[in-house]
Amino acid sequence: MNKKDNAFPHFKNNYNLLKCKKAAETIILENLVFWVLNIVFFVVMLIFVYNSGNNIIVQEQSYAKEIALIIDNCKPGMSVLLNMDALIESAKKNNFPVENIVKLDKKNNRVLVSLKQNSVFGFQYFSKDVEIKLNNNWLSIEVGKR
Amino acid sequence: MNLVKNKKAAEKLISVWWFFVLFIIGLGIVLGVMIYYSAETVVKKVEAESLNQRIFDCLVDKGYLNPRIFEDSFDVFDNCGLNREVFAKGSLFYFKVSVYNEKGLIHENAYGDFSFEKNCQITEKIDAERFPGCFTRTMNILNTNEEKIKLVVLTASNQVGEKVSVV
Repeated sequence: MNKKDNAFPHFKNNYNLLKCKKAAETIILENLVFWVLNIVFFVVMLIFVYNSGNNIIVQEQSYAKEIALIIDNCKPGMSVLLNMDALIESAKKNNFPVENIVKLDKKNNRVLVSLKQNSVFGFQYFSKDVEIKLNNNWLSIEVGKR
Repeated sequence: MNLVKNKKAAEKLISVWWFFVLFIIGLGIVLGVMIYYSAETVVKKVEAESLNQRIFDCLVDKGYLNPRIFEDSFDVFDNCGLNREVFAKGSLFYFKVSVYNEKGLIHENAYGDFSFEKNCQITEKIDAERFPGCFTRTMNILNTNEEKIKLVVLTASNQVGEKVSVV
Protein backbone atom coordinates (compact mmCIF):
# COMPACT_ATOMS: atom_id res chain seq x y z
CA MET A 1 0.00 0.00 0.00
CA ASN A 2 1.22 3.46 -0.85
CA LYS A 3 2.30 5.63 2.12
CA LYS A 4 0.48 8.55 0.60
CA ASP A 5 -2.79 6.59 0.65
CA ASN A 6 -2.44 5.89 4.32
CA ALA A 7 -1.58 9.50 5.07
CA PHE A 8 -5.08 10.90 4.31
CA PRO A 9 -7.59 7.97 4.54
CA HIS A 10 -10.65 10.17 5.36
CA PHE A 11 -9.94 12.53 2.50
CA LYS A 12 -9.77 9.58 0.04
CA ASN A 13 -13.11 8.11 1.22
CA ASN A 14 -14.88 11.47 0.98
CA TYR A 15 -13.38 12.07 -2.43
CA ASN A 16 -14.71 8.68 -3.70
CA LEU A 17 -18.16 9.42 -2.30
CA LEU A 18 -18.17 12.80 -3.99
CA LYS A 19 -17.17 11.24 -7.30
CA CYS A 20 -19.99 8.63 -6.99
CA LYS A 21 -22.55 11.32 -6.16
CA LYS A 22 -21.54 13.44 -9.15
CA ALA A 23 -21.66 10.39 -11.41
CA ALA A 24 -25.18 9.57 -10.16
CA GLU A 25 -26.35 13.15 -10.73
CA THR A 26 -24.91 13.11 -14.22
CA ILE A 27 -26.69 9.86 -15.05
CA ILE A 28 -30.05 11.17 -13.75
CA LEU A 29 -29.66 14.48 -15.59
CA GLU A 30 -28.72 12.78 -18.84
CA ASN A 31 -31.69 10.43 -18.66
CA LEU A 32 -34.04 13.29 -17.75
CA VAL A 33 -32.91 15.38 -20.70
CA PHE A 34 -33.17 12.35 -22.96
CA TRP A 35 -36.77 11.58 -21.95
CA VAL A 36 -37.87 15.22 -21.97
CA LEU A 37 -36.55 15.69 -25.50
CA ASN A 38 -38.26 12.50 -26.65
CA ILE A 39 -41.60 13.54 -25.13
CA VAL A 40 -41.32 17.01 -26.65
CA PHE A 41 -40.62 15.47 -30.05
CA PHE A 42 -43.62 13.13 -29.98
CA VAL A 43 -45.95 15.83 -28.63
CA VAL A 44 -44.91 18.11 -31.49
CA MET A 45 -45.59 15.28 -33.96
CA LEU A 46 -49.03 14.63 -32.48
CA ILE A 47 -49.93 18.33 -32.65
CA PHE A 48 -48.81 18.41 -36.28
CA VAL A 49 -50.92 15.36 -37.19
CA TYR A 50 -53.98 16.75 -35.37
CA ASN A 51 -53.69 20.14 -37.08
CA SER A 52 -53.26 18.49 -40.48
CA GLY A 53 -56.59 16.74 -39.99
CA ASN A 54 -58.28 20.07 -39.35
CA ASN A 55 -56.81 21.53 -42.53
CA ILE A 56 -59.16 23.95 -44.27
CA ILE A 57 -58.71 22.45 -47.74
CA VAL A 58 -59.63 19.00 -46.45
CA GLN A 59 -62.73 20.37 -44.72
CA GLU A 60 -63.89 22.33 -47.77
CA GLN A 61 -63.53 19.28 -50.00
CA SER A 62 -65.18 16.81 -47.67
CA TYR A 63 -68.18 19.02 -46.89
CA ALA A 64 -68.72 20.02 -50.55
CA LYS A 65 -68.82 16.36 -51.54
CA GLU A 66 -70.98 15.41 -48.59
CA ILE A 67 -73.58 18.11 -49.33
CA ALA A 68 -73.67 17.26 -53.07
CA LEU A 69 -74.12 13.56 -52.29
CA ILE A 70 -76.91 14.33 -49.81
CA ILE A 71 -78.68 16.40 -52.49
CA ASP A 72 -78.32 13.61 -55.06
CA ASN A 73 -79.49 10.89 -52.70
CA CYS A 74 -82.60 12.78 -51.63
CA LYS A 75 -85.89 11.88 -53.22
CA PRO A 76 -87.84 14.87 -54.60
CA GLY A 77 -89.72 16.57 -51.79
CA MET A 78 -87.21 15.55 -49.12
CA SER A 79 -85.40 17.92 -46.79
CA VAL A 80 -82.31 17.27 -44.71
CA LEU A 81 -80.64 19.11 -41.82
CA LEU A 82 -76.83 19.00 -41.68
CA ASN A 83 -74.85 20.13 -38.64
CA MET A 84 -72.27 22.78 -39.50
CA ASP A 85 -70.52 23.32 -36.13
CA ALA A 86 -67.09 22.26 -37.40
CA LEU A 87 -67.27 24.45 -40.52
CA ILE A 88 -68.54 27.49 -38.62
CA GLU A 89 -65.73 27.14 -36.10
CA SER A 90 -63.11 27.01 -38.88
CA ALA A 91 -64.67 30.00 -40.66
CA LYS A 92 -64.67 32.07 -37.47
CA LYS A 93 -60.98 31.27 -36.90
CA ASN A 94 -60.28 32.77 -40.34
CA ASN A 95 -62.64 35.75 -39.80
CA PHE A 96 -64.80 34.54 -42.68
CA PRO A 97 -68.53 35.45 -42.71
CA VAL A 98 -70.64 32.45 -41.72
CA GLU A 99 -73.35 33.19 -44.31
CA ASN A 100 -70.82 32.71 -47.14
CA ILE A 101 -69.62 29.25 -46.08
CA VAL A 102 -72.00 27.24 -48.28
CA LYS A 103 -73.58 28.54 -51.48
CA LEU A 104 -75.26 27.01 -54.50
CA ASP A 105 -74.04 27.92 -57.98
CA LYS A 106 -77.35 27.30 -59.79
CA LYS A 107 -75.92 28.20 -63.18
CA ASN A 108 -73.42 25.34 -63.05
CA ASN A 109 -75.42 23.20 -60.62
CA ARG A 110 -72.73 22.91 -57.99
CA VAL A 111 -72.17 23.31 -54.26
CA LEU A 112 -69.54 25.88 -53.26
CA VAL A 113 -67.88 25.59 -49.84
CA SER A 114 -65.54 28.28 -48.62
CA LEU A 115 -63.82 28.72 -45.24
CA LYS A 116 -61.49 31.61 -45.99
CA GLN A 117 -61.02 34.39 -48.52
CA ASN A 118 -60.08 33.27 -52.06
CA SER A 119 -60.56 29.59 -51.24
CA VAL A 120 -63.63 27.92 -52.71
CA PHE A 121 -64.21 24.26 -53.52
CA GLY A 122 -67.00 23.32 -55.94
CA PHE A 123 -68.74 19.97 -56.47
CA GLN A 124 -71.53 19.37 -58.95
CA TYR A 125 -74.87 17.71 -58.20
CA PHE A 126 -77.35 16.34 -60.76
CA SER A 127 -80.65 17.08 -59.01
CA LYS A 128 -82.81 20.05 -59.90
CA ASP A 129 -84.82 22.49 -57.78
CA VAL A 130 -82.52 22.54 -54.75
CA GLU A 131 -82.58 25.14 -51.99
CA ILE A 132 -80.26 25.52 -49.01
CA LYS A 133 -80.50 27.74 -45.95
CA LEU A 134 -78.28 28.16 -42.92
CA ASN A 135 -80.23 28.42 -39.64
CA ASN A 136 -78.01 28.87 -36.60
CA ASN A 137 -75.62 25.92 -36.90
CA TRP A 138 -77.79 23.77 -39.16
CA LEU A 139 -77.85 23.71 -42.95
CA SER A 140 -81.29 22.97 -44.33
CA ILE A 141 -81.23 21.22 -47.72
CA GLU A 142 -84.48 20.96 -49.66
CA VAL A 143 -84.75 19.01 -52.90
CA GLY A 144 -87.66 20.04 -55.15
CA LYS A 145 -90.84 18.14 -55.77
CA ARG A 146 -91.54 16.39 -59.07
CA MET B 1 -8.95 5.01 -17.53
CA ASN B 2 -8.83 4.55 -21.33
CA LEU B 3 -11.81 2.21 -21.17
CA VAL B 4 -13.79 4.80 -19.19
CA LYS B 5 -12.84 7.55 -21.66
CA ASN B 6 -13.91 5.40 -24.64
CA LYS B 7 -17.24 4.58 -22.98
CA LYS B 8 -17.98 8.27 -22.40
CA ALA B 9 -17.06 9.10 -25.96
CA ALA B 10 -19.29 6.27 -27.21
CA GLU B 11 -22.24 7.55 -25.14
CA LYS B 12 -21.90 11.01 -26.74
CA LEU B 13 -21.79 9.48 -30.21
CA ILE B 14 -24.90 7.33 -29.48
CA SER B 15 -26.94 10.37 -28.38
CA VAL B 16 -26.13 12.19 -31.62
CA TRP B 17 -27.10 9.09 -33.54
CA TRP B 18 -30.38 8.92 -31.57
CA PHE B 19 -31.37 12.43 -32.61
CA PHE B 20 -30.60 11.58 -36.21
CA VAL B 21 -32.96 8.59 -35.94
CA LEU B 22 -35.62 10.84 -34.39
CA PHE B 23 -35.21 13.26 -37.28
CA ILE B 24 -35.73 10.45 -39.80
CA ILE B 25 -38.85 9.26 -37.91
CA GLY B 26 -40.21 12.83 -37.78
CA LEU B 27 -39.59 13.29 -41.48
CA GLY B 28 -41.42 10.03 -42.22
CA ILE B 29 -44.43 11.07 -40.12
CA VAL B 30 -44.62 14.50 -41.78
CA LEU B 31 -44.35 13.07 -45.29
CA GLY B 32 -46.91 10.35 -44.57
CA VAL B 33 -49.43 12.82 -43.17
CA MET B 34 -48.95 15.24 -46.07
CA ILE B 35 -49.41 12.47 -48.64
CA TYR B 36 -52.50 11.16 -46.84
CA TYR B 37 -54.29 14.49 -46.55
CA SER B 38 -53.34 15.71 -50.03
CA ALA B 39 -54.98 12.65 -51.61
CA GLU B 40 -58.49 13.35 -52.83
CA THR B 41 -61.53 11.51 -51.60
CA VAL B 42 -62.94 9.86 -54.69
CA VAL B 43 -66.69 9.41 -54.66
CA LYS B 44 -67.24 8.54 -58.33
CA LYS B 45 -68.72 5.10 -57.70
CA VAL B 46 -70.97 6.40 -54.93
CA GLU B 47 -72.26 9.12 -57.26
CA ALA B 48 -72.83 6.64 -60.07
CA GLU B 49 -74.80 4.43 -57.70
CA SER B 50 -76.91 7.40 -56.49
CA LEU B 51 -77.73 8.35 -60.07
CA ASN B 52 -78.59 4.77 -60.88
CA GLN B 53 -80.93 4.53 -57.89
CA ARG B 54 -82.63 7.81 -58.82
CA ILE B 55 -83.30 6.70 -62.40
CA PHE B 56 -84.37 3.22 -61.38
CA ASP B 57 -86.81 4.53 -58.76
CA CYS B 58 -88.54 6.78 -61.26
CA LEU B 59 -88.81 4.12 -63.99
CA VAL B 60 -89.98 1.20 -61.86
CA ASP B 61 -92.97 1.29 -59.57
CA LYS B 62 -93.67 -1.77 -57.39
CA GLY B 63 -91.99 -4.13 -59.83
CA TYR B 64 -93.69 -2.70 -62.92
CA LEU B 65 -92.03 -0.63 -65.62
CA ASN B 66 -93.45 2.85 -66.17
CA PRO B 67 -95.19 2.42 -69.57
CA ARG B 68 -94.65 6.09 -70.43
CA ILE B 69 -90.97 5.34 -71.04
CA PHE B 70 -91.87 4.19 -74.56
CA GLU B 71 -93.64 7.47 -75.42
CA ASP B 72 -91.80 10.14 -77.40
CA SER B 73 -93.04 12.80 -75.01
CA PHE B 74 -91.53 11.04 -71.98
CA ASP B 75 -88.82 13.26 -70.47
CA VAL B 76 -86.56 11.28 -68.15
CA PHE B 77 -85.08 14.50 -66.72
CA ASP B 78 -88.42 15.96 -65.64
CA ASN B 79 -89.74 12.66 -64.34
CA CYS B 80 -86.59 11.75 -62.40
CA GLY B 81 -85.83 15.26 -61.07
CA LEU B 82 -82.54 15.54 -63.00
CA ASN B 83 -81.03 18.75 -64.31
CA ARG B 84 -80.77 18.44 -68.08
CA GLU B 85 -77.84 20.85 -68.39
CA VAL B 86 -75.66 18.67 -66.18
CA PHE B 87 -75.86 15.96 -68.87
CA ALA B 88 -75.19 18.29 -71.80
CA LYS B 89 -71.95 18.45 -73.77
CA GLY B 90 -68.84 18.17 -71.61
CA SER B 91 -70.77 16.40 -68.88
CA LEU B 92 -69.10 14.58 -66.04
CA PHE B 93 -71.99 12.10 -65.92
CA TYR B 94 -73.56 9.48 -68.16
CA PHE B 95 -76.53 7.16 -68.02
CA LYS B 96 -78.05 4.60 -70.36
CA VAL B 97 -81.41 2.90 -69.96
CA SER B 98 -81.96 -0.33 -71.92
CA VAL B 99 -85.14 -2.40 -71.97
CA TYR B 100 -85.13 -6.00 -73.23
CA ASN B 101 -87.92 -8.47 -73.74
CA GLU B 102 -87.60 -12.14 -74.67
CA LYS B 103 -86.85 -11.24 -78.28
CA GLY B 104 -84.15 -8.68 -77.53
CA LEU B 105 -83.63 -4.96 -77.11
CA ILE B 106 -86.85 -2.97 -77.43
CA HIS B 107 -85.87 0.44 -76.11
CA GLU B 108 -82.66 2.31 -75.35
CA ASN B 109 -81.78 5.88 -74.39
CA ALA B 110 -78.50 7.43 -73.27
CA TYR B 111 -77.44 10.89 -72.09
CA GLY B 112 -74.24 12.56 -71.00
CA ASP B 113 -70.67 11.84 -72.09
CA PHE B 114 -70.99 8.83 -74.42
CA SER B 115 -67.31 7.92 -74.16
CA PHE B 116 -67.99 6.73 -70.60
CA GLU B 117 -69.65 3.59 -71.91
CA LYS B 118 -66.40 2.27 -73.37
CA ASN B 119 -64.47 3.53 -70.34
CA CYS B 120 -66.78 1.58 -68.06
CA GLN B 121 -65.98 -1.62 -69.97
CA ILE B 122 -62.29 -0.93 -69.39
CA THR B 123 -62.68 -0.18 -65.67
CA GLU B 124 -64.48 -3.51 -65.22
CA LYS B 125 -61.16 -5.18 -65.89
CA ILE B 126 -58.56 -2.75 -64.55
CA ASP B 127 -58.36 0.07 -61.99
CA ALA B 128 -57.77 3.43 -63.64
CA GLU B 129 -57.53 6.64 -61.65
CA ARG B 130 -58.78 9.11 -64.26
CA PHE B 131 -61.55 6.88 -65.63
CA PRO B 132 -65.15 7.23 -64.48
CA GLY B 133 -66.72 5.27 -61.65
CA CYS B 134 -69.53 3.09 -63.05
CA PHE B 135 -72.53 1.23 -61.72
CA THR B 136 -74.85 -1.17 -63.56
CA ARG B 137 -78.20 -2.41 -62.29
CA THR B 138 -80.00 -5.23 -64.10
CA MET B 139 -83.48 -6.11 -62.94
CA ASN B 140 -86.13 -8.51 -64.22
CA ILE B 141 -89.47 -6.75 -63.96
CA LEU B 142 -92.89 -6.82 -65.57
CA ASN B 143 -94.61 -4.46 -67.95
CA THR B 144 -98.27 -3.48 -67.68
CA ASN B 145 -99.21 -6.57 -69.75
CA GLU B 146 -97.57 -8.81 -67.13
CA GLU B 147 -94.83 -9.75 -69.62
CA LYS B 148 -91.32 -10.31 -68.38
CA ILE B 149 -88.82 -7.66 -69.34
CA LYS B 150 -85.26 -6.88 -68.34
CA LEU B 151 -84.27 -3.34 -67.39
CA VAL B 152 -80.56 -2.43 -67.48
CA VAL B 153 -79.47 0.95 -66.15
CA LEU B 154 -75.82 1.92 -66.61
CA THR B 155 -74.58 5.09 -64.88
CA ALA B 156 -71.15 6.69 -64.66
CA SER B 157 -69.54 9.66 -62.96
CA ASN B 158 -66.09 11.12 -63.53
CA GLN B 159 -66.33 14.03 -61.13
CA VAL B 160 -63.56 14.86 -58.65
CA GLY B 161 -64.59 18.44 -57.80
CA GLU B 162 -62.44 21.51 -58.32
CA LYS B 163 -61.07 24.65 -56.77
CA VAL B 164 -63.17 27.55 -58.03
CA SER B 165 -61.57 30.86 -58.88
CA VAL B 166 -63.13 33.75 -57.03
CA VAL B 167 -64.10 36.69 -59.24
